[in-house]
Amino acid sequence: MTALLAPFRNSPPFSGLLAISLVFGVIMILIFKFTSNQKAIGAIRSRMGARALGMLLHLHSPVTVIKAATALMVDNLSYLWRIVTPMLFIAVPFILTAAALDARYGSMPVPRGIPTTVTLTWDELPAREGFTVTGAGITVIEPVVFVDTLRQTSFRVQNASPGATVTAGGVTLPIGASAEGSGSVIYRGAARMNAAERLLKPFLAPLPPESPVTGATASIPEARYSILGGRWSWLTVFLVYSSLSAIAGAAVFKVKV
Amino acid sequence: MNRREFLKSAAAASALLALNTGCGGALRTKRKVLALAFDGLDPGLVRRYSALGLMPNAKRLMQMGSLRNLATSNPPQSPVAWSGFITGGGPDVHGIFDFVHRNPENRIPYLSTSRVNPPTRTLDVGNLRLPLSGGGVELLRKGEPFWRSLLKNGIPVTMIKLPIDFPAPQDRGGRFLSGMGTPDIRGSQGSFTFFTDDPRSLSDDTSGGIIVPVRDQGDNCYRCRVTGPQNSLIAGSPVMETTADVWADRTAGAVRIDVNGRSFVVGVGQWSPWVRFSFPAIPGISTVFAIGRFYVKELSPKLRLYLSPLNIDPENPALPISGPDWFARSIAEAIGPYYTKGFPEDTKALSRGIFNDDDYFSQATNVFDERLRMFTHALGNWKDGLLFFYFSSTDLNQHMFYRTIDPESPLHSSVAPRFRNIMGELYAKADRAIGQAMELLDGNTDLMVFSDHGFAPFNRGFGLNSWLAAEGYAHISRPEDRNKDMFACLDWNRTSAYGLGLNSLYVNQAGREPDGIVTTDEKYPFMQRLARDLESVIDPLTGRRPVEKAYIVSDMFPGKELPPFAPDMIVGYARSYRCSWETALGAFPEEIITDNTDPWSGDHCVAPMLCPGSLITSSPMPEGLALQDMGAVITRALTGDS
Repeated sequence: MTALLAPFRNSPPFSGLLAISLVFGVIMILIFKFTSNQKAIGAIRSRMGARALGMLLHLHSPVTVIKAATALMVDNLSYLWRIVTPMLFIAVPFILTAAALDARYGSMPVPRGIPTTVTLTWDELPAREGFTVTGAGITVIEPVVFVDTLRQTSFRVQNASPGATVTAGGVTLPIGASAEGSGSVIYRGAARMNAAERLLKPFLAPLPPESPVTGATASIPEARYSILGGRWSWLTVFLVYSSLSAIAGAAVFKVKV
Repeated sequence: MNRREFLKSAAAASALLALNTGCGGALRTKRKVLALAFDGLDPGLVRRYSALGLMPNAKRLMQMGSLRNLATSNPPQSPVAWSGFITGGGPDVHGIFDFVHRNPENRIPYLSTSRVNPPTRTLDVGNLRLPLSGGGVELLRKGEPFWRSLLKNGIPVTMIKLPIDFPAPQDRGGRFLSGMGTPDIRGSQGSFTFFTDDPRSLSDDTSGGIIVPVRDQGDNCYRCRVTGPQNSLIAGSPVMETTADVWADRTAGAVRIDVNGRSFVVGVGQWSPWVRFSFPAIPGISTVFAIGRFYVKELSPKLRLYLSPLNIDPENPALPISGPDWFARSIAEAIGPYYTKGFPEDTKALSRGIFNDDDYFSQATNVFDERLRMFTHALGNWKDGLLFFYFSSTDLNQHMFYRTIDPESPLHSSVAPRFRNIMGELYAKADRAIGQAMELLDGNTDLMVFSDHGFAPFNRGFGLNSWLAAEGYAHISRPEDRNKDMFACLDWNRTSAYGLGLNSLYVNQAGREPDGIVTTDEKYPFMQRLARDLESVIDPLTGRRPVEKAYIVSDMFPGKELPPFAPDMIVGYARSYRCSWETALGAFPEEIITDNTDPWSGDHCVAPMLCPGSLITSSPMPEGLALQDMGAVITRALTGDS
């Protein structure tokens, strides 16, 4: 994903999201084409069209309309059954792509001049004495709040540079953008994760199993994108543009959907 | 050019523009006007601080053009004055006579500028009450705004934080962000919440905000219930609530506040960033968003946590604070969340002792700095036409800190040394904004800096209602209720006049008010006598007259039919005087004239000639202009080449 987004590194985040959405839509429609029975789908669609037309032509005959409607429902179920297989093929790249996009476009970078609170949850809350928090490429604001009941420590950071890290009680975590430019991962926290979880939650930095910290969160603002006077989440933008691209792709590659 | 000729040409420019509108043509103008409004900027203090070198930009601007006194409205209250600016007329045109009006049918006061109307038809589904038609917020200001003819002629107009403009106009081609008059999310003009486990702080007083008792759950966690707006989609309109978990770390001297899955660390004496609250009206379908800021006043030994009035979230506005809708959001995207309510400085928290001067000053500084960021953003995006930008800080901070420059103030001696120069610093900060605006001056751009009124000290409160009772104009039948309100203590069958609001006085008129006793024929001579009596009152402590002039409203607008909610008299107080706090609420305390010991120590509800506004311009202006002329003056400047 990072390589795919490399050309958009110096562009606004929206441009990278738009490009991925458009490419994804075309790829998905091609996957659909090659994993579905196009001939059968074409036949069902023709039949469904005929049933609908028959209903319109025989509006004066309720019995005929009911028969056609029943047949149409059966055809619909048949159609849904036909698209199960391609949808299963599409689901895997969709989930992985969505997770990767969420990590890149779901949050704002740590805002400049506005403190963001970082909370670490510990296996055992460290002693207050000698507990220090330092930042590399990021400003840490004292004090550190200890919440004994939840085994948590919280502190504020601001003015993060790409690649910034925070070291708290000896544990180092990346916070904010992983690299310069649009399309880099924005870490919203950290967690102990297995390989599958890492794929599904790339917005969290992985913590080694032996880490005394079980998880971390940063209250980074959610990103919104302005389109047509509205402000939309990355997922809405992705779904709308990938759908438009898929519709266009279906026309170009003569895919029966 | 003298004032008369100037105004004639300004009026002619407006008329020509209107005529052009009728012909359907668009004027082409390269002229630009930057109208910079500082509420309450006093010309006397501008002169003083310019001479002291605190306002070098204003001094330079007045050398380029002029500094003039700008006549204000009568009464010199901001809603009345700014409505005059917008419409070019007086209260007879725009219908705003005071901050509050009263319904003559029941004498119940209401906010004069806007009101919320319930839906006329609803669909009731179980507990749900879905609006089908009607309802919404209504702007009560009447009259035609001056910018309409500019817009119709293709001249872009941007009005940012314009007072008495809520709900924001949706005029095509214009950009509007409403200012004074915009409520908080609960529909009030600003209601703070103060969470504390200190029983000594608890109080039944709800003016300006509420004090909410909280307790430590045993693990240094305080569960604070934050009150949102009423849920009009549910039968009975219950109040919506959300929770803020406050984790106190007394060793660190800070708290962590968890709201809606987000956390904020705030130290003692510090402000949180803007916190977004969500109140689901119908879960998953309709949610009201609001923003607020926490301030940790104290943590040890007791928690004293202030939450600002919840502002309408500019990124998800629940009410129409801008026109077009996206305008408020676009500003928030550029500068972050911002105060949307009309009176952003929390003067009530200072008056009630929740804040001390330091707390208030830090909050007021946040407001002014945030507004300056908005101003920088507005200047950067301004291409042509008219840009109007409004600052409230000059008004509200003078209200609270006038005592620092007035040796006669009962609170002057208690002002801490670090606040002695606060007024000068306030004017100097305003001057920096003027300097920023001056950087845009070129041959095609006019800069007009103006205010709606000036300022005067408020050292003595005149109990108008108490005086009416003492002089036999009002009869108190239940003395034990005299400190509550007039509805509880008065015998209306023996009362001929009453005061309500800051400058308004009403005759208890037969046929208009219930139990009214003054007939239409008796009314005018009665008011003449009342005016004479008011103007002859002497303050026994100072030997001065508290009332400079009592104006009979029908004399101010001869031949005009005034609305029934209009006051019958406007009491123009002398400098150092204003109606007492109790009078504004309709109460009748025993003492008539008392010292004002509220930090709200400056005011402008005096006779209008005693507190003119300021007009500093890049082009010379004639003497004698009034704020309500400014719309025409701006139109003239914009169309001068046409």
